[in-house]
Amino acid sequence: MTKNEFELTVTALQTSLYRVARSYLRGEHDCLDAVAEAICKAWQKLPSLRDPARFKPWLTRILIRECINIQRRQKRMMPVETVTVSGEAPIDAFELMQALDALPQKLRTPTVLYYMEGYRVEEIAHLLHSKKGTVSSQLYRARAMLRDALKEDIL
Amino acid sequence: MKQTDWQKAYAPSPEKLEARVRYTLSRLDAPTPRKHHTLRVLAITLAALLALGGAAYAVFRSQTAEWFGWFYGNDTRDKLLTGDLAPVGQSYRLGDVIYTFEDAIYKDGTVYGTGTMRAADGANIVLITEDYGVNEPAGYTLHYGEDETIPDDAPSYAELAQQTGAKIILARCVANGVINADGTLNADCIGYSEIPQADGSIQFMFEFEGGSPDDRTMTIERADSYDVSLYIANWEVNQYGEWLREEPNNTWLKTDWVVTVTPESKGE
Repeated sequence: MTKNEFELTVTALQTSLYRVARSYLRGEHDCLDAVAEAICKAWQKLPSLRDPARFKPWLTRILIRECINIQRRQKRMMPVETVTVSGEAPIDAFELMQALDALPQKLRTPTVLYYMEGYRVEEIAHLLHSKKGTVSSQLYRARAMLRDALKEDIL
Repeated sequence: MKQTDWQKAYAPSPEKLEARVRYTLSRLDAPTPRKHHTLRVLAITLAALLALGGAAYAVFRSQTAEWFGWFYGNDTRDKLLTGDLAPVGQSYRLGDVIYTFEDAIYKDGTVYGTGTMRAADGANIVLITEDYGVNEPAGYTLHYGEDETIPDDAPSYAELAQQTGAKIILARCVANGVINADGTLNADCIGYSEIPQADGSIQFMFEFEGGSPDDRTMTIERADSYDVSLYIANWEVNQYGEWLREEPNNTWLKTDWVVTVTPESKGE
């Protein structure tokens, strides 16, 4: 992959990367930091990517590690900023955001990867170093909790 | 619900995201900050202790034990004083901020440390931490349940900066963990606090256990020395409290700082 290809690919993936980061981190600055750090690390580690077709999950995995690192630094941090939904977003997006934020971390990230980013269960299991059955169970529980929170069938 | 509906819930601010990614891509080939093993520029304390010989260990007063005692209570202070105590006294300058790692303690698989962030000599800056707003009274600990009396005329960070024509600089110092022999990072459950001081400096304190994203069971073994990696950063905050971390006004400085910590008195 050339530098130009890397830049084009990363630019095309930036919104997806942000959403995955957002599943771990509340603060907008933190999400942007995580995305930026992941891009830098991916560029440095690019020679280690054996299959360019796997670039997106590979980069997403780097991003997840970065998010976890940022999260670990924040164990006792007080929330000083929260992400707001842009003015054009409909109210149900805001409600969904709140419902997602209320999910436990272990359920939120698989949910984001599955419903927002379109990853398959086995791909999520690979990304999160988990098992297919575990991911399926997490998605099931997340759906139930979201359904309760939103008072409607979300699918 | 369609995938696009889901995506709206975590939609980014497109301008900020694009600007940040564009900036990151433009600096892909910029030299990355090296991890710095600094010289002991503030070794006076340590030198004095060494000069005193073994007896010095007994009189070494651990700032780390004192601060964690303040934070958690005297039981914690007493517990930490039975750990492996390591005076450090190393400093690193990043921009206009001097970071000083004062001392550390290893106790039962956890590393504790404290230090200060202060303005470099001649730097006209007002330091603030990320938990505080520019309109809050400068130098008071507001979030720790302290029973402080704050005078009505106590200047805020913004007022203090305006009075002296200074820049407001948000400074951070957070532990990354210890570096294993193979270069990997070993830390989990990193806790930290940054506490404003009356003299304008900021006290930082951190604690962490072993672990990694792939191996939560990893531990930090008791050792003769530890390479502690700290993430230090600072950036300007304007009078409205906005962080100047975006182009064209990006003031963000950051680096990893690795300090070798050698306990000089072994605990229980």
